[in-house]
Amino acid sequence: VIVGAIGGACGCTGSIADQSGLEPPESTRPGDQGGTSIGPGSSKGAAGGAGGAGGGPVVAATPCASGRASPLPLARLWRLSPAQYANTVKQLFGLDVDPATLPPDGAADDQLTRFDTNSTINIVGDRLAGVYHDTANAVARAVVAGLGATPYACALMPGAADPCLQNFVRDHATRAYRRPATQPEVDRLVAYVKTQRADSDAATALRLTLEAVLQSPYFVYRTELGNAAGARVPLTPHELASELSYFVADAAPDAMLLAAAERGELSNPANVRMHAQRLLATPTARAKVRDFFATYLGVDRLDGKRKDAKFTAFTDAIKQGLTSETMTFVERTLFDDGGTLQTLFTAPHTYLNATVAKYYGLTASSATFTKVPLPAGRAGVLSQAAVIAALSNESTTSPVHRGLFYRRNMLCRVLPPPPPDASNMLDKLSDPRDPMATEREKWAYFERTTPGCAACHRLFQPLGLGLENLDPIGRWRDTDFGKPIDPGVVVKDYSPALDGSYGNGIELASKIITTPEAQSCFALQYTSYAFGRNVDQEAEACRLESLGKKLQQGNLSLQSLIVEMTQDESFYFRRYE
Amino acid sequence: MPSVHIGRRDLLRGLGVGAAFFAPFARQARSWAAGKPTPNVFVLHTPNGHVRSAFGGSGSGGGFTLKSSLAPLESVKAKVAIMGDLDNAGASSKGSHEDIVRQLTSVPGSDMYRGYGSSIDWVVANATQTRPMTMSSRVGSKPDWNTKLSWRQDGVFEPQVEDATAIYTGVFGNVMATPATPADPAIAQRMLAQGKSVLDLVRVDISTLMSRLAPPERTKLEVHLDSLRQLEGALKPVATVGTAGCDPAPVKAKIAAGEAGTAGQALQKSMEIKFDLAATAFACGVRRAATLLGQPASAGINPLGGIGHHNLSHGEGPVADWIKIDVWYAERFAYFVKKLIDMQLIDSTVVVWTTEISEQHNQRGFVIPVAGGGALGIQLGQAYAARDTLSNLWVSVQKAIGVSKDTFGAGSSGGMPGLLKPA
Repeated sequence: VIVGAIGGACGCTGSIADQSGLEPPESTRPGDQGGTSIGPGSSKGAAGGAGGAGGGPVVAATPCASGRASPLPLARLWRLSPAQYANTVKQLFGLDVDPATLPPDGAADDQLTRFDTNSTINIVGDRLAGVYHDTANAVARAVVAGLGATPYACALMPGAADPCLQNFVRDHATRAYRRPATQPEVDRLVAYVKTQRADSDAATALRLTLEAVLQSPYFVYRTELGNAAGARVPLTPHELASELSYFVADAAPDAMLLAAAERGELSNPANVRMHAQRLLATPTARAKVRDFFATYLGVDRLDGKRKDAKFTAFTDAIKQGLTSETMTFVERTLFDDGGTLQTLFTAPHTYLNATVAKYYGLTASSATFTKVPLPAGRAGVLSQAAVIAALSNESTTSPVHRGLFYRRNMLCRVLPPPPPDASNMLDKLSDPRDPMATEREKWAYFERTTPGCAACHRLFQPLGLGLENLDPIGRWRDTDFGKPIDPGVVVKDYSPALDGSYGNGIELASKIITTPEAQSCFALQYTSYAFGRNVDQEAEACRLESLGKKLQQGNLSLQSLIVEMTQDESFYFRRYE
Repeated sequence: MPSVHIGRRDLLRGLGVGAAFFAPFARQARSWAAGKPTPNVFVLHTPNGHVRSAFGGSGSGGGFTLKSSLAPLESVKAKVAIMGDLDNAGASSKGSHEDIVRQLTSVPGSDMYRGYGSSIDWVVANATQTRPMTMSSRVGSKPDWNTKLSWRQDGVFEPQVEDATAIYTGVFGNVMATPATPADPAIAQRMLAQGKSVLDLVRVDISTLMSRLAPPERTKLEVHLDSLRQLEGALKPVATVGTAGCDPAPVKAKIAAGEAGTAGQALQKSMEIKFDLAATAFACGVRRAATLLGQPASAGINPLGGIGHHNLSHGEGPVADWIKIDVWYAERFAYFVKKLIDMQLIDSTVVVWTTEISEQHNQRGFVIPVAGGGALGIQLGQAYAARDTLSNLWVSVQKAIGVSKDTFGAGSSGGMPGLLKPA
């Protein structure tokens, strides 16, 4: 059994020992007191939700033990994600756009998270501008082709009068912009229809107008700007409606939400809570949670993950099947089975079809994914082959990547940058005279021969050894090069909550997720994903602590956390620099 | 309301840019420096470094020899030069695969996965008033740090595009399949005006919104506006396609034939299609800069089968197997050089072959083959043994295309001595 002194000092070189970032912020440590963030709500709020700086919803700043208020998020633009774009077009026009036609954005540059929802990287580059243009053209053609059977049929008449054109323009722009189109906007678009109609015909003019609306920044981006610059600017009611709907369900606000915005009801967090709970029941809310876990667990990269040719069972088809297993498990656990985040890491069952069951050496009769009990040794997502294969090298397991999952994904503990030319140390990773060394033996060699680097690797690599019973493609093994595998992990000098001995990595994960630190970390991860921003762990310690506590109070229910996230002041206000 | 499915096939069939308007086929009208052809620059990036003992060259002129891994270039070595010992002065502290993000920028910075400046392909594209082609082969997954090669500017990377049809459509439209230009010039002109009018409306909204923003949010809309300018350029009327070598039909047919086969065969086909796309775009004058990510940084695919490329670079297999992969990629590089020779583009096209780590798994001692560009002043048929920087190579490249600037990223000092003929 290896001792994983994951809280010890790290010093790959003398110069970077004890760098900040190795310990969690004071306020996220176990035992700190948190507080709630919501003040007494009112049906209208101080400024009805539409006012300038200084007004807005009645939501108090988050108090916490450290006494340092978390800064508000910055005012910003946030481009719709491919899923949001497709869902929005579907809502507006009933047309299906394949999100795969929209080029992906890639990962953000944050050490702890790598969600492609990050607003700092979501730009409209050449290719996306072209796709937006083409899609707008296709959608507009389809819409205009069906216009004759709608209340807007009058707009197709060669001499359609202004009221008819104004209705057409105002209604479509309002729905596309997710806020009332302004009169100058309506006037400009009506004038454009008339100009184009004079040059061609009414249908062409309407099509071109819709193309412009669908390429407008007010359709392509969501704004979180409020109505005026300031240090604490309330979002407008319609910005709040969009924020809520896309946050929960990756979809544009529906009629009920827009009506609530019109009535100023969204300045009351209680109303926002009610709508959040309602939206969680929609299919796209499930899809959004699946998308989060695909990235959080790394299975979104499984498609491009290649394995050594000796792993003949790891075919493209099985990769798809394994991914479906994990996604089905996540969705069913969190939405249908009453499961929690803890269930995700501890469940003694999974969801398999016959093909994937055979891969595991199990039996399932159905072509669809059904609940199947797991054999001893396996439990939760960290024993699922999709996750484990994503956390493995091509031909070997990877205690490094598996250990980093605990440290970064579950505990949000960053590492200092590697020392200069760390890669030159790669030949020290294992004893070249012992090609049959197990991963545990390799670690012992590395720790002995390269203590400078091992000082950092001690923070995570021994944790990954707890999953050595799972080979590089997630299949069970009892031996490595013929030697019995010892999956035990001992954690010491880390925190009172975590220090101790664990039989394997599954046990370790099931313990970690119960700690306040891990719960705050999960709040950070979901904030980073669903709010699309880098989270400053230190500056926002109060907010994360509070959300972590709410997660705990909600018995680790993700749905409960999502709702609670809408009750924080950061949901209602922005700041300008 | 009709419910239709709008998917990739529909878009690539040319709705919008490809069919509703005009193919982006306008020839680059800008005249270049007197006596020099209009330049092109192509960067091939392959992963995991090379085995230096077999990868490199020595001597010059009649004494110029190539090491064994570069044997596929033997027949064209008069058009090749070897940079023997380059360091990346923009390297991160780790100095490993992650530094793919700095290979074409050479700008240092604290974030591991950020380019911190414009990459050489964008410098070339901006200088030639075009856009770079950013291509990849058989990557197959969402872009991650290990694909971030091309940087429009600090913090704004351009994704590498794998789909050959999407690349073709973006560069050539559907002009060769179904001529989009209406026979009646008046109708053609009206369609052009309509397309521009839509973008004008969009620009009004962007300008209105932009007035409320400060950096960095404002930057997003500036990039968006720049993309609309590029899109508008794609709406220009079709110019005459008649220049020697400007014939997209062969590469279109090659794309249609597909990339079936083993992993290695598919990768080879994919790379050759991308090479052909770039060569054709250069010949037609619609693009002047291109990058091809043969595989992402640290990728494992071994085109010959067996132990993965990444594993081999970590010493987890015979060195001979790693060398075989170097030879395999050299064959692909040679394919492109010969293609450019056949299309009479070699003397106006500089081709640079980069990798994200050296054999020692760091950012020192890169061996970089360069081909072509003879008419731009690149002195070929020799090896450059002196230790220098990657950024100095990029200074020489930008000077070759007419950018009179002595710096590029970090560690540059006017360019690589001797690589360019004296002006």
